[in-house]
Amino acid sequence: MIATFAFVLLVLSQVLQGIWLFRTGARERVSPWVSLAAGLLLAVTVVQRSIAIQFFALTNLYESLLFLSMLAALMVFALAKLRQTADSKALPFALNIIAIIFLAIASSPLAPSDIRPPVPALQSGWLVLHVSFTFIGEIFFAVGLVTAILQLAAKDEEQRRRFDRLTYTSIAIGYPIFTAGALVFGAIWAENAWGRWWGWDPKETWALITWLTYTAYLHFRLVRKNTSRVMPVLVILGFLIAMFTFFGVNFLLRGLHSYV
Amino acid sequence: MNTILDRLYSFLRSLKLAAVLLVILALLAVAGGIIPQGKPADFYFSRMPSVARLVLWIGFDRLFTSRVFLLVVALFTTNLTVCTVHRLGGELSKPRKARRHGPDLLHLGLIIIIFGSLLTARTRTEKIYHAGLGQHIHLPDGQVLYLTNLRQETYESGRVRAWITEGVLGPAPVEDPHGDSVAGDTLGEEGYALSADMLGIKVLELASIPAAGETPAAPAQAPVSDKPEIPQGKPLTIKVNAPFKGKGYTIYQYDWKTIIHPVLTDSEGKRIVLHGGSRITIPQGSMLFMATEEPPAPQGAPVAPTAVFLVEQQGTRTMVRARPGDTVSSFTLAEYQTQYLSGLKVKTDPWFPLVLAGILLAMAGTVLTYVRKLKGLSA
Repeated sequence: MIATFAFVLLVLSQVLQGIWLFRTGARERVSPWVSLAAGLLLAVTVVQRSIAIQFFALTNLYESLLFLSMLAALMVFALAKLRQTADSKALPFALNIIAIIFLAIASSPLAPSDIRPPVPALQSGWLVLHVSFTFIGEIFFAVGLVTAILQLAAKDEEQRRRFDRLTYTSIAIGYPIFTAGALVFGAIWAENAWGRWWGWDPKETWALITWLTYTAYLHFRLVRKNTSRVMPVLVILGFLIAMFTFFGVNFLLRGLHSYV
Repeated sequence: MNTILDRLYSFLRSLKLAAVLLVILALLAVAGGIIPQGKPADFYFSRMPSVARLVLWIGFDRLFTSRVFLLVVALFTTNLTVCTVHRLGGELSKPRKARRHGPDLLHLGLIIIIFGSLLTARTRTEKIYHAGLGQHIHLPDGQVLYLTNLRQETYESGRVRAWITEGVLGPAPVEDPHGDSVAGDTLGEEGYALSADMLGIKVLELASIPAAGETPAAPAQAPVSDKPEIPQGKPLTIKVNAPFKGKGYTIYQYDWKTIIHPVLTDSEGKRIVLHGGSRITIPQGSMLFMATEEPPAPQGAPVAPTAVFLVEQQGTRTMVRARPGDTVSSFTLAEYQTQYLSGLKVKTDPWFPLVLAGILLAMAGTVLTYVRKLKGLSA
């Protein structure tokens, strides 16, 4: 019920942002607060579920989507308030869409919302760190995705440089967080739970592919001019791979992470 | 000559080479992520007939240990090493305050992880044991773990909450008829396999619990102890996510199994607990218990499994299937007895601390690198 209300708020925020998106001049100031309210409501849902399952609610697809949507909604607010991004209407608009998409998938049959307490392997503090850090990193990658698209669509060099800087900043923040979550904490948890820190499980392999893609981006950025189209394309590709790692591997490639 | 070496050096420390190798590694990992790994050749011919021959020829059925992959990893490691040494030299020549060691730490961490992985891949050992209450397993340091309590905790819904194995560490028994641990199998691509041994004599010897005051009419081979002797020793508890770390090894709670044993009664009412492979002497022959068969998917009331026997009498062999209440030769299949087996993984990995050090170093390097860069961006 609370999640449904959060969904309504996110849609409302989207409509408000949509109305002001192509208007010049005065900024609309309500939608960031509406998205923040949605994010806080989703946080309440996560807490509620955590109490119900007696563990941090990050143990299945539904809970993961709630958490991701919450992060995206909070990011909309942050982007609207940050000095560097406050003047961009497209950025929070796109992030809000991502929050809505995550929540819509959470309410679909793809992500059963039954309250199921975690199986023994999932009851680990390392799992909480592993999943939460991975998702926080991925939300920054989502910001990178939007700015990379805007970079590709930019009409002048100044805009392109500005979006390139934003893309790089978001990846530079998300990359260490994702590395810590997906690879470091994941490896420590796997070692603790299964007695092997790496096993080329499909989820592990695709997380590594995501990491390699962003690592390649960061290296290409050192050797190519920042106006090169290769780099935003790599960032877009990286996010698509991250999402395949999250959704595609669950449904198409079964492995140790098939309960997620 | 110098020019060639200089060119080689420049090539090997090139950032472009690093970026290209990262892309190649990613592409190879994509192939390894899509092509099922470690399956038998038939699998590839049936699932991907058009490319099966190519997949097998280039070793992409085991891509992450294939020569192609290892070659790229080797080149990447060389590039990383040369780049790190070159970069470190440059940084050290700068004034202390201007030095940026984040990337050096990150690269050094990655190099350590790669070498550590090679070492752990070559030296780590792991074995999975399935042992019941009262059984013991031999550990790499010569001690023996005696299982004193097995617990499966569940939520109200019946979903498993925890598997807990309690035991004591003690010296090996003086007489060990097997000379080795209880049976197990090493982890394969498809998990583990139960060996016939494990379901047979060894379980019978240590975990059968005949009714008080009775002895089995015809023990298969080994004597049955109705009260397994547990020596005094250091108590320990093993849970999922809370492994026990001993001298050079770690014991993980890996899984949990439930097996059933048919219980026969003879004409005098004596009970005999059977295990796969148990042979009982009958008039003019013998009777071998082979296995239990699960009935087809239940419709209505649950149906008990079927016990399968091979009865050899007067030179003829007959396969007999029985359910509780049925008669088999001169015996009656009275019931099934349930036995819980705790799946324990015993692992030795002397080089894991090196890998862990590499992981932490790489993590510290990543954070340092990007904190500095972000400071620069916001300035």
